[in-house]
Amino acid sequence: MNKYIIATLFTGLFIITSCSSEETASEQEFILPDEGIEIAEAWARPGRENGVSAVYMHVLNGSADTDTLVSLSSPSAGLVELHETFDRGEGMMGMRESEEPYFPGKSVVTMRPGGLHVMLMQLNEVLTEGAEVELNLVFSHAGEITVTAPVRSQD
Amino acid sequence: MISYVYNQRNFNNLRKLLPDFCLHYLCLIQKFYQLHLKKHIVNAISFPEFINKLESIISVHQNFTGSSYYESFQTHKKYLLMVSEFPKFSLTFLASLLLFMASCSSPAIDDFSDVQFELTNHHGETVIFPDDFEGSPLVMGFIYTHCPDICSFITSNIKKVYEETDSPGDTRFVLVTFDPERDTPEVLRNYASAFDMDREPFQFLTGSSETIQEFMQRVSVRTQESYSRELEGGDRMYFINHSDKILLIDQRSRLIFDYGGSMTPVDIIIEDLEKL
Repeated sequence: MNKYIIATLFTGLFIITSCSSEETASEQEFILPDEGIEIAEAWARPGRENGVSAVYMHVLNGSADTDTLVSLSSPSAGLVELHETFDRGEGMMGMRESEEPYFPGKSVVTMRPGGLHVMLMQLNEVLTEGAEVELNLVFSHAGEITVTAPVRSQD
Repeated sequence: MISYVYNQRNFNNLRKLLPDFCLHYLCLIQKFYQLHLKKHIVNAISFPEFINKLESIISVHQNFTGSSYYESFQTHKKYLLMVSEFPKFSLTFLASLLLFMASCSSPAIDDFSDVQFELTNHHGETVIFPDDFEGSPLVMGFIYTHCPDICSFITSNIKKVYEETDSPGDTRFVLVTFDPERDTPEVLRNYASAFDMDREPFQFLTGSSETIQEFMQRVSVRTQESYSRELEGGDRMYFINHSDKILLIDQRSRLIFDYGGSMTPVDIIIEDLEKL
């Protein structure tokens, strides 16, 4: 039994020290469009009327050039912005408007809980699980893209 | 190494590999990483060195962890080091050692039985913390409803803990706002309803600004207004930087564990809850 314990401890330590390079999750693979931008797997958080929600998605930029998100709107919200959650340090989390709405060419940018997200403010309807929210994204090159995001409380 | 443990997937894998009593310290490592103390221990290479550094950090930050935590760590430290330094301990000794450690692997971090806060739930009813929850385990998160990302995450995690616990029994699941100015009982009720949590055993709590401020101080939730701006129509919109945590409180109002609210996998909270 003691051998087992020592073995598990050291196996654990070995794994801790040897695998730290594997921190980044193997990103889900997406097939990039031949050109322009496609949005995959958009979903939104529940939100109360007059409240807020967040929309998450994968932004697939198939063109060779970086594209810029120039505007966001939704029929369900009075105000829509690109935000990011960040670690303020000392266990504090903060949220701010993203200053880098750039989407590099031939790559996927993922908006996920705890990071980059589209923030819907001044919701004019309640978003409960099972509902859908429409979101319009305007990119400088790819133009306007409309996505419908189902509302889920969990990803 | 610390950042490795900080990653939740790794944390889960590691948890399966290591004996139970190590969990407590793995969680601590996560907490310290959150506190940006990684620079102190990131270069630790051996287990004894690592344990010593962890001890010095806990010692320095007793205000945060509570002095009983430090004392409890010192007791564990002795045995953790013994296990790593003397691999040929007798089976009997090790077995009794493990039994001892298992019995104190969840020391209370704090005790709320000496305080009393008058709060209001999302139905407008007065709720006294911790008196009204005594006798039931309590899973408690902290949110403000104008935060769509991290706070939705925390809210969903609380819901998920309830839904995935085999027998939640009389466990109560509570979310307390640190933005009482905007989060009135009515706003909380609408928020609860959007998340399909306007039902037992969930409660959303608010209170007077003074009470909430004192309460948050007592449960070590820190908040700080980040930025605000005027909206068309004259309303003021502001965001709050805040601690990201979920607490597990036992039937006797003792704080058993303090988890990263959005980042801790719910199965870890469920496992700890089921031990109560």
